[in-house]
Amino acid sequence: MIENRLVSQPVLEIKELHKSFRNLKALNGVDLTVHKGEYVALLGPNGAGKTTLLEIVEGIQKPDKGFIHLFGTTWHENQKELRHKVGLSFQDTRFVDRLTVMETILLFSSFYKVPKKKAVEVLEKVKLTEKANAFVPSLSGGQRQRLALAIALVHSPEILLLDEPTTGLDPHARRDLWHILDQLRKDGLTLILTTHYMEEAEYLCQRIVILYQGKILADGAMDQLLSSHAAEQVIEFQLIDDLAPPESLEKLKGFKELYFEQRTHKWVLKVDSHFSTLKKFLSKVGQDNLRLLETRKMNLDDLFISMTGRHLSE
Amino acid sequence: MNNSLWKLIGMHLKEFYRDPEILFWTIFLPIATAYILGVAFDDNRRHIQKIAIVRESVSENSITEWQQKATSLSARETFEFSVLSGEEAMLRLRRGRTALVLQSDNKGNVVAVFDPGNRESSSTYLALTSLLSSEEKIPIQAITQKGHRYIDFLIPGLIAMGVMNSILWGVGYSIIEFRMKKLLRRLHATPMSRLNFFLSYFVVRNLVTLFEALILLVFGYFSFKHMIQGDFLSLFLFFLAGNFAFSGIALLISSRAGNTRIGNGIINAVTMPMLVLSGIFFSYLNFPESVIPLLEKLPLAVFADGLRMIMNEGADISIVAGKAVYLVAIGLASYLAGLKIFRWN
Repeated sequence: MIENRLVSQPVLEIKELHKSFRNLKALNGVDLTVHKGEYVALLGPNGAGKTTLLEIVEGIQKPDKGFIHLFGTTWHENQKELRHKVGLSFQDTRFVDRLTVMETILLFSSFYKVPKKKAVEVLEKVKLTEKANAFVPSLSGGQRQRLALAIALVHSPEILLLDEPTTGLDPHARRDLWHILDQLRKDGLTLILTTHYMEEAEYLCQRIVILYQGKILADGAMDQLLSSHAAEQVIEFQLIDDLAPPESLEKLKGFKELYFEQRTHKWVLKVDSHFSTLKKFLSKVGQDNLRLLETRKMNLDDLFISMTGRHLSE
Repeated sequence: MNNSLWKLIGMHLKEFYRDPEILFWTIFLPIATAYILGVAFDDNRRHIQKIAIVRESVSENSITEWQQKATSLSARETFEFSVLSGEEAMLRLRRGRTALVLQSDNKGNVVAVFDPGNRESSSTYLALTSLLSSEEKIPIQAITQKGHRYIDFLIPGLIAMGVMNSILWGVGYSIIEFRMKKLLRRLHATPMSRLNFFLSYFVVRNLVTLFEALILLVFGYFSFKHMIQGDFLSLFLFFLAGNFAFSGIALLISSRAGNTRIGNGIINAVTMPMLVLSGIFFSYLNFPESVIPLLEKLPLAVFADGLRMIMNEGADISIVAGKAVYLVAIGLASYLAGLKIFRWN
């Protein structure tokens, strides 16, 4: 994919993008280039600017300043052509209650002059064929999101823009949608999605863009991000009787950071390598004082906390 | 009382006073309605009861005599006598511009011509005869001629009212609901033609209102022998003009509202005054003279008046062309203004 990025023309080019809503700076100088076939996740907490960025790409919002080219053109210059190339799904869109799934998809396919056969195929692709005659309100959350995806795909777009497609879905429904999106990769589709879920970004996207306060903090493949921004490993532990860990932990070889995580009620110790640190850690803390001990590799949330002091899911 | 009960009471109170729409409905609208109806039926206000006298039927002396009697015997009841030709007097009666007509019958006796089913005409008759001695009593000649009865006045008004309600709620509310569901925004993000989007509403509402009007006409025919005096083409064209006017208004009032609660308030704020002031159930001539020129220009009043002219007086489209053009202009201006400020998001 990296090779592909080097040789292909970019599908999306954004330079120095700014957008404010009254006193709030939603985007503050965003640069982003996306190539054909890339699956890109825009990751960040609430208010990071993910939706605003996506809506500007979708042509729903206009930037205050900056350059944005989609397929070498702009929404202002070529809206009609771009509408046919872009498939999108907003957060929480509801459809017409009195229409069935099939009627809904046929309504949208009429705007693109797509034959009924194609609408049927798309329903099959998102595994909604059995629900074709069901009314929209009778669908589950996951089925509704799949309908939204079907509508986004009905005209065979070249780029798919999804705003938090799995928010509020149960893990099973979320996995179903991931699987469908994964299958679309072979069609050469380009995908940009916003999400709170790092597992979603990790599962679907080979490229992750972390946004915070309207700026891109990090951009790259998951491993690349973790290795370039932080190569640490994590030891999480709980002590009996709410004891505080000894200060001498800071003198451990490879020590990076120690803090108490309120949400999980665990102490988090970041070190270069837990293999070389664990034995000394146990001797300093005292094995009998430990209620819980876990070791793991650093993840995007750890990276985000070390960069901003906030969790991705906030 | 336990704490949760206090919290629940607090929740309901906050729901009440933190919602502008509820405040509008519970405080402002009843006051506004009371004021408007109070102005219309204020007992302290001089209520002018209009009576047409057919010129060729009654002597000048009789007219002066009645007027003097009326003004001298009652300060509250004030009659306005207009001396008109028979044709003009009956036209005014049909349009609700006069409560009753005094004319001579075949035997030369003065009779009061009106529809006893019309509350306004009946009360004017009672007020007039109460001022006369028993020898002077005027017999009633009940109107049976089609196009002159209260039901003939009422049915076109009900059709006009149905069109207004059907379009403002069917189009305006639906657009606001679509916006609230973010469906409007989703549609806008497709190559869907805007013209098609708005045209689809107009076509569907025309069909619905046409169906509603037909039901009312059929009911009117079988129950009251209400018949259309004018031609169907004129009626249909004028009907389209009314539909267009209210479609434009519906687009304008739904162009910005972000949720159905606000939409409810706006639509009611537009429909309720028009319903009261446009002469649907009783003539708007009961309102003070100073506001009548304004009331006559209300789209619902223009629409109802035009329908009455076609349905009761046999007018064709050329006679109501001015009203039709006015309605189309209202629709077009509202449509363009609505489109200018329309919010898809």
